[in-house]
Formats: sequence, structure tokens, C-alpha cells
Amino acid sequence: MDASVIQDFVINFIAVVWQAMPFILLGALIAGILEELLPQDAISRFLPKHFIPAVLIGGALGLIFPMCECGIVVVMRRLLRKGLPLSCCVAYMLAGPIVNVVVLMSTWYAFKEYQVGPEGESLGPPMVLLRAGLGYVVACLTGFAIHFVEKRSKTPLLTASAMPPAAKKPKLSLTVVEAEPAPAPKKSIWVRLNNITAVALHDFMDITVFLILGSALAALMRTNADLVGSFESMSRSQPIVAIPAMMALAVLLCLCSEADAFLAASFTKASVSAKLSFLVLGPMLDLKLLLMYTRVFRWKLIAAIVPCVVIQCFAYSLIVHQLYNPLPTLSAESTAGK
Amino acid sequence: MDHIIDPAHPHGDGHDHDHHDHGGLGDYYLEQLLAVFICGAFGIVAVLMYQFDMLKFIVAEKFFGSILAGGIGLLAVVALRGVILWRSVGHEPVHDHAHDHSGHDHAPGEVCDAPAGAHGDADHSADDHAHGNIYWRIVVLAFPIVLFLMGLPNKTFSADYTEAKLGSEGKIGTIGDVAERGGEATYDFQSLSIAAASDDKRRALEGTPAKIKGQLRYMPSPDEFGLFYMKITCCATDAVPLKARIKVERPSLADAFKKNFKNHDWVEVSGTIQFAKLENGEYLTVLRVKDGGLTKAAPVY
Repeated sequence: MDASVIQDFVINFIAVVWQAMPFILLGALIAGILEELLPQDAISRFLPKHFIPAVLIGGALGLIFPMCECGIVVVMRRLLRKGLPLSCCVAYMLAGPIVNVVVLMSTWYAFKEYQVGPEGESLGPPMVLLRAGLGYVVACLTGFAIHFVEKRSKTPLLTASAMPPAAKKPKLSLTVVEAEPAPAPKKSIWVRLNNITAVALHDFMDITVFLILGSALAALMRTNADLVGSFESMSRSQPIVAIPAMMALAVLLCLCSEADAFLAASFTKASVSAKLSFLVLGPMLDLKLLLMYTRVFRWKLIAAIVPCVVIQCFAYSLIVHQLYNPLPTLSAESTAGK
Repeated sequence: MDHIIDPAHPHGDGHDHDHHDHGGLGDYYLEQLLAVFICGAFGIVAVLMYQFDMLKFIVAEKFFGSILAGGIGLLAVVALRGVILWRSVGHEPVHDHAHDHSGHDHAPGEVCDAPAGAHGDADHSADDHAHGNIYWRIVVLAFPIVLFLMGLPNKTFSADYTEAKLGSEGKIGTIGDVAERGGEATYDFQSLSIAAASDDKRRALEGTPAKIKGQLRYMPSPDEFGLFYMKITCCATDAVPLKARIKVERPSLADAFKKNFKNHDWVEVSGTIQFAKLENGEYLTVLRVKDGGLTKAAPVY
């Protein structure tokens, strides 16, 4: 094999792994703390009982708890164990990496100099609104769908490590006197630290393994840089082709949601709708995330989430293309990275 | 969850693990030590990559600090975990993995009184168990560490990959002369890219001097070179090229430059700013360069 191909593979692979490492560790530490300190019934006490408001809240949680798509998987698994409803969790997992201040600011920054229409309006604000809006809608509708999938499913949808502990069954007793529930034994700080570090290290290892596998797979794809160029050159007049092409690119590239807007902005030939499909799908589904999801969801659930997200992204981007397809006013050969 | 196991660990006869049994304390400690070891190695590599300035090849500078902090944080967690494991040896070994036992938890020190078979497969399958299958995970986790031990990464993307990212660049053809106006020099590649997209900024900058660092790119045209800078926002995978064009005074000067500078060499370009309209209607920054306008420069990451 050509040495330069190996060199490109190593950079593409290792860059994603090391950039994501601190965020996975942060997620793992939060997961350890949640597991140890958050009472089992805390979430269910505060969350609305009905699934619709619960999912709508889940989709907006990223505004309060901003997490990147790598870290969110770790945290989500622990939230599921703590009783956060699956539908609500899915909405948070899908929308969280998009509907958060950091990502929306970077989207605005990437597109602010990109002028469209006869008046030369900045593309920054519309891209922020469209990305946040579509991301939220896709996440919430997927959450609703998963609610019904969960209700009808006769087999578990979560892996054992993500399943909340079932309620304790009462012990058989011959006496008729109802016993007072035994108070939870008080844990020493040492025991708590032990549990937090154990969970944090376990989760860090568990998710990083799949991050590495996914990054390696993505690096193999990305090593062919011509691939990106050929996707980008899809005609603005062929959204049926350009939108799925950009969606496929988002899945293959495995970019961080904070950075993907800068790459999308550099696709000067692509239409707004194609860029949007790239920006909405990427943080929800890519090769590394797909592998990381297997640590939380069983394949049956992944098989429900993936088409739900992909079809919605495609459909909404197509609608956007029909309603909002401004031509660039003036643009530099590359205005990305500003 | 944080029950303490008795070496005898009376989980009942029906309680089988397909990868280990809880009676095997040696296995438990071995797995825990391997986890500590591999995570510790990960943390050390993160710190060393920062120390040896290897991060510049793969991530934007703003992430150097977070990777260093991640490495130190990981080492701290690993150290704490190591101390806890060490303390537990010879005392009551703390069995604190994060799985539930199919609907029943153990309080600290509580002996599991679940009936045989209560620990269903869903809890204890090899795939899902908290500390199962650590060995193949260690192998996968060792991959980035091995790459570091091999001294990788030690350079940026190859020339072929960079060329593919740059794509073909249109000719700017004949452009009129630009009147030199003097004024404050522009040093920032990004500012030039931004200016090219704006009428007002183009008017403000045209004719003013610039001193820009970037990589040289040979062009088919006899009096032109490309100038590019791979701008990384987060990591190398999101790099996008910022581009400009160098137009030299005469073709003979271009030949002289070609003798001194190879394709993709880092250069500092001193010239006068001009903007050229391309065939597709977009504007591109052009630097008009005279004798001595190109000098060697250290790579900028």
C-alpha cells in the first residue's frame, strides 16, 4: 500500500479519536456521577407523565445540557438507567448535538459571510433557524415514533447495560404486618468514589472502543479525498440526487457538530437544502455513532431510528429546496473557516 | 449496585456468567487492572502528544488544552481507581460494576439472596456485562497508543490528498494593473477570504499591501501560483482550503521562484492586494508580487 495513503488514513483516524477523547471522558464522569448520586425516581418525578410533552422537553434539553454527539451517548445510557423514558432520551440524543448554543453559534459564524439573494442577505440566520428547527422536528417525531415502537415491542430494545433496574419485588412473608421500607444504607465517600470511578472508566472504555472502530471505518472512506469533491459537485438543480449525496457524505465523514458547518459552508456549489441535510443528519447518524449506539440500543431499535431519521431529513430538505433555494449573491472561492 | 462480594459469592447454582464467574476474584482484579492500565496509557499518550507538539497535525490549536486536560483527568481517575483497588485487596473486595442483577440490587455487604436463575441472560450476557470481554477492547484501545509509539502522526496530509481537496482552480486570465495605495498591511489569510466576498471590503483592501503565509501551488499559467492554507476548525478531517492567487510581475520571475520553491512549500508572500472575478462570478484574492516577494516560511498549523 502507498505510504501516503497510510499517512492520510492515520491522520483522518487519529484526529477524530483524540479530539473526541476529552468529551467522552467528560460524558463518562457525568455518567458516573448520575449513576451514583441521582436518585432512581428523580427524573420520573420531574418529567411530565404524558409522552408528548416529555419528548418535546427531551428535544430541547440540549439548550440546558449542551453535549456533543460523542459525549451524549455515554450520558444517555445512564439517564435511561435512571428512568428517563426511551422516547424522551432518543429525542435528546438526536437533537442535543444540534439544538445547543455552541453548535448554533458556530453555524451562524460559518455562514454569516455567505450572501444570498439579490439583496445580498447573510445566510447565517436562516441556516441557524433551519438547522435548529429541522433538527428539533426530526428528533421529536423520531421520539414519538420510538414511543409506539417501544409499546408494541415484545422484546427488549435496550442493551442490558442501558436498562433501568426493575422495581424490587416484595419478599415473600408469612406475616401480614406490612413492613416499613428499609432505609437505603448510607454509603461512605469511599464507596461513592469507588462507584463513580468504576462507572466512569467502564463507560469511557466501552464507548471509546466503538469510537475507534467507527473512526477507523470513516477514515478508510475519507482517505479518498476525491469522494468529497464528487459529492459536492452535485448540481443545485438535482436535489433528488444532491440531498442524499450530502446525507451520505455526512454519514461517512463523522464530523463534530461544532465543525461541520464550516465544511458545509465551503461547499459553494451545493444548494442550501443539500447543506442543510448534511448539517441535520450528521450529528444524528454517522459511522462512529452507529457503532456507539450499539452499546445502548439493540439492533431492532437502531433499525427503527435510522430510517426514521434518514427519511425525515430527506423529506424536509426536499421541502426546504422547494420553498427556499436562494442563489449566492457573491462569494469567495472559499468563505469557510472564518 | 455496589455490593461487596464474598469470594464464595452465593449467587445460586443457576447464576452463570459466560465469561467469568464471580468466584474468580483473580479474574475480576485482572480485568480491573487491565482497565486501569489501558486508560492510564491513554491518558499518558494524550499528555505526551501535547508535550511533543504532535497535536498540531491533527486538531485545531483551541483543542490542545482540552486534550491535555482530558489526559490529566483520565490519569486522575485512573490513579483514584488504582488506589481503591489496592485498598480493597486483602480486605473486602469491592465489586462495583454498573449492572443490576435483573431487578434486584445489593446493598453494600449484602449477600445476594436471589433464587437460582434470577440473574437472567439479559443481565449477564457476554456482550452486555459491565466487565466482560475486556480483552478484545484492550486490543482496540491499544491501536491509537501503538500509533503514538510508532511516532505517528508526524506530518500533515499527503500532497496527493491535499491536491484532491484543493480541486481544480479556474484561470483568472488577464487582469488590469492595480494602483498601489500603501496603508496598513494585511497579515491574515482569513481576512482576505472574507474580503473577497464583500463589495465594501474589496474596495477597502484593493491596492493595499499584504504579507501572507501559506503553501505554494504550481499552476499551469506561466505567471501564476496558487496560495492556500488548510484551515482546521476542530480536527484535520474538517480542514477546508483558504485560497488566493499569486500573480508575478513577469513569467521569468515565476521561473526563478520555481527554482527556489517546490510545490506545496511554505512561503511568505509580500504583494499588493487585488481581486479578480472568476468565470463563475465569484471573486478571488490575487496578490501581485514583484522581485523578492516570496520568501521561505515555517509551516503554520
